[in-house]
Amino acid sequence: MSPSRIFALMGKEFRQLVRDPLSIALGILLPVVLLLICGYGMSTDIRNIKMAVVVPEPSREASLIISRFQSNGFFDSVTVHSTQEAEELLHRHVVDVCLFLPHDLAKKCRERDVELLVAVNASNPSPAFLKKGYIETVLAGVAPQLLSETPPDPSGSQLSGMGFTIHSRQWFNEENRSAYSIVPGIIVIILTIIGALLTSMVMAREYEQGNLESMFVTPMRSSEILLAKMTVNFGLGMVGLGISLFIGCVLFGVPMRGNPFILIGGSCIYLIVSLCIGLLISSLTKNQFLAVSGTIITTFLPSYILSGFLFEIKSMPPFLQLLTNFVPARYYVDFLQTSLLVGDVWPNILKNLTALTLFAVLFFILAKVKNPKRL
Amino acid sequence: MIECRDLTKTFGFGKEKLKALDGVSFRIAPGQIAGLLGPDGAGKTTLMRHLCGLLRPDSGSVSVLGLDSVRESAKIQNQVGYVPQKFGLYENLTVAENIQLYASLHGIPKSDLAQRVPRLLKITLLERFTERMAGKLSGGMKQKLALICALISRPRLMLLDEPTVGVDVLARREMWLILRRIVEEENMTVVASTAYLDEADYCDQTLILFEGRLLAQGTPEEIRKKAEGLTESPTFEEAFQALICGSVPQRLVRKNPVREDAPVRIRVENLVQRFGNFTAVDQISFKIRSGEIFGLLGANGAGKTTTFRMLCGLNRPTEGQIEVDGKPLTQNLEKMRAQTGYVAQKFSLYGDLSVRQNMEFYGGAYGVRGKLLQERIAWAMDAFQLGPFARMNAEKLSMGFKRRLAMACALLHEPSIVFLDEATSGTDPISRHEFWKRILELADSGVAVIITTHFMDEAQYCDRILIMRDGRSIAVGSAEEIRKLGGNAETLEDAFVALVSDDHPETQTETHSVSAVQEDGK
Repeated sequence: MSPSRIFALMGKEFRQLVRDPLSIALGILLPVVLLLICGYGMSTDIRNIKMAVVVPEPSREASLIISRFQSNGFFDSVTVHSTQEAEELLHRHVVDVCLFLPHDLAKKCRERDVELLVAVNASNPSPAFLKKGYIETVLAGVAPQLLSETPPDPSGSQLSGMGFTIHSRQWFNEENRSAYSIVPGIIVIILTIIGALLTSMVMAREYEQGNLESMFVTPMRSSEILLAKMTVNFGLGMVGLGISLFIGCVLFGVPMRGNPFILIGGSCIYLIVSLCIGLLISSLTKNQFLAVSGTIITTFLPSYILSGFLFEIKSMPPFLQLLTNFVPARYYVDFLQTSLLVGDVWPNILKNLTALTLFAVLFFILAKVKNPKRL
Repeated sequence: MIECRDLTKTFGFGKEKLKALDGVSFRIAPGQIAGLLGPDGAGKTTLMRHLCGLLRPDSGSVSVLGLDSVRESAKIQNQVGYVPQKFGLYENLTVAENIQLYASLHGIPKSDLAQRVPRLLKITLLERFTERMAGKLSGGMKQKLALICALISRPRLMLLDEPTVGVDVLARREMWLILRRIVEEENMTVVASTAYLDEADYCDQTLILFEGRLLAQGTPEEIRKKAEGLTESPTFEEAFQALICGSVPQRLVRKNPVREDAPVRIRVENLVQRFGNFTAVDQISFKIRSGEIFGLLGANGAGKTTTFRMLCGLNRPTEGQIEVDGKPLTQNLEKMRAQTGYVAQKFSLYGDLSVRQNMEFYGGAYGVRGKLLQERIAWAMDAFQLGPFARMNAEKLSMGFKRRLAMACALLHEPSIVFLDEATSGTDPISRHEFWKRILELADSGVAVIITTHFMDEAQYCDRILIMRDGRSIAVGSAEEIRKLGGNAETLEDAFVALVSDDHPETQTETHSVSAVQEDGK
């Protein structure tokens, strides 16, 4: 390995990258576009939510709640008197949400033991999640008045602390996925595209155009070109990651609950896995078209479907669940979701990063073996 | 310098096995240009890749600069310069950046580069283009840039895989003169492969490769002697034919040269084709008579293929008229296509259909059916000697036979106009001879034939030649007239070079420099 040669190759890679509109589009434009599209879906104000309020018997408290929902502007509420009626409306899609008030609401308010049930049509999970959130916000606003004896809690919205419990049911889709999970999902997609797809494409292009044939007949070693390619595409992947995190956290308020350094470190490992897979596939196919198809089938699609980003792994058939163990993206999705939305859960971090590191080592060795200085 | 002992290399497995090199043994002495000559598929590229240690021989051994190509491939790769067929340039790096990259890979110190790069740029006349992207250079210029990249490390041995493929005669001549100069000034050995047999005379040594076997090695003179006694003052190509089959086919002659009063089949007037700002074809006019062989000559990018596509009705001209049998082409397109045969530059038959199935398909596509189709297929099998391969899949055929099949398919419907777009490039001399025999027969029977070619000896067969440069017609006439137009040049090639250079102020300087290179070199 000669530093000056690696440096020269990296300079070449960098120039090519900057001059290749596709790479720039994949590295910078794609994260922005994907996040804005999905982010728009995440932050849409949902108005005119059709809601049924089930009031078993009229009371001052029930009227208070209904009037709050009516004056709020987000809800279109109808009042029904039986659970059956409400279910009927929900099934017929006349309403999307049902709020069930208990019997003896007044008494329960006095005893500070109010239990409410919110049922949401969750066939489209993201809006369902939002609607539920809206209802909780309205209820949090009305709660102090209902429990009028209680001085308002300065911190505000801790409903349960006030003896106010909301049970929610998401009908038709029990395993609702948080809209926040889209941001980690998109980061996975972007790192897979830049790492595996772009890398396999540019490497296969060098085979196809005969670049490698003439480069091989120089003192250059094959590990040097692998390293140079990885470094530059790694940089591009980091730019994509940075943009995604920035948009996700700043514009859409995805909480970054874990340590950012751990998050970035884990992302680096996943990016290396993707890069090595890309290099491996391109040296096996030596053809851009095959390399791209191969990469899409072996990395891109699994990172969508089998990673737990779109579909919950636990609800897959056992065979597919087994298969997901061999999809590196699965570990990264889990890692990212935990890191962004939950926090530093060390057993989880260690498990996922160990798996990713093993994949990185395995694919680097394979890429190195399959990239000898021969045709 | 180079020694190959019984080199054998097989690709593929089982039934698909292909012997790319079969017991090849030779030595090349230092300080000369060795030419590796053979048609496409002869094994030239495979041999080149063995010489620089990129492939591992199945049996036999290769030693280059005294180093074993398997055990010491890295050392060989440090010391040789290699230009693969596909250049290996980075198209979105500039000329200077490409050179710099290879210099860094070879670890050449800056002080060394400061004198070497300008000198190489001067020899190759690329000085003015250092800031241009490699992808925006012409084919000939790319070749020269690839040459500089390989020369930057002052290798003792240069290996060039088809450095002259797909460029016009002018650029080819220039490339060989540059190589000669390098050999003499830098004390280098050059091994260059080519499918153009007429380039043999630029070499000191020639190696004749055919179907993986080395048929002969020697100076061009020695090779020519192989055909002595078989024909008078044999050409290199005839010697090649003698080496392949032990005899030299008779030289071809037109039996019924086209007559002045033969009916005009195609009349083209002031044809213009523009793509955006770029004028691909600029005010071309010509007539093609029944029974005439009409040659379109010019470099890649001169506008030949665009003209062809307009004649076949594939592109609509921006301006100008094309008349077929006195009627505008646009009104006559269906009829015109039904009587036209077209052989494309690329192999466009179905590789996974057999020879017979391809013929049946193409015959059917042109509306030939039933008994007539069977008769025509029988004729084609016989005329192109495809009978033994009738049941073989087309992709398994050798290059020469693929070309024959393409020609056979284009002739099944007995067209009266035939278009041949570089239909013979890369074929072996036997197939090429066979090919031209048919073309002359067709013309003799009154068919109008329009061809494009890079081979100047093929242009000899044309009744009339039109030379194009940058979309314009710069000379029209018979081979004889073209020679006169080109300042009474001795050969058609010289005339072509002279004409193309006179016409173009930019190339004029280039050609002057070529002769300067020549004078310097010799």
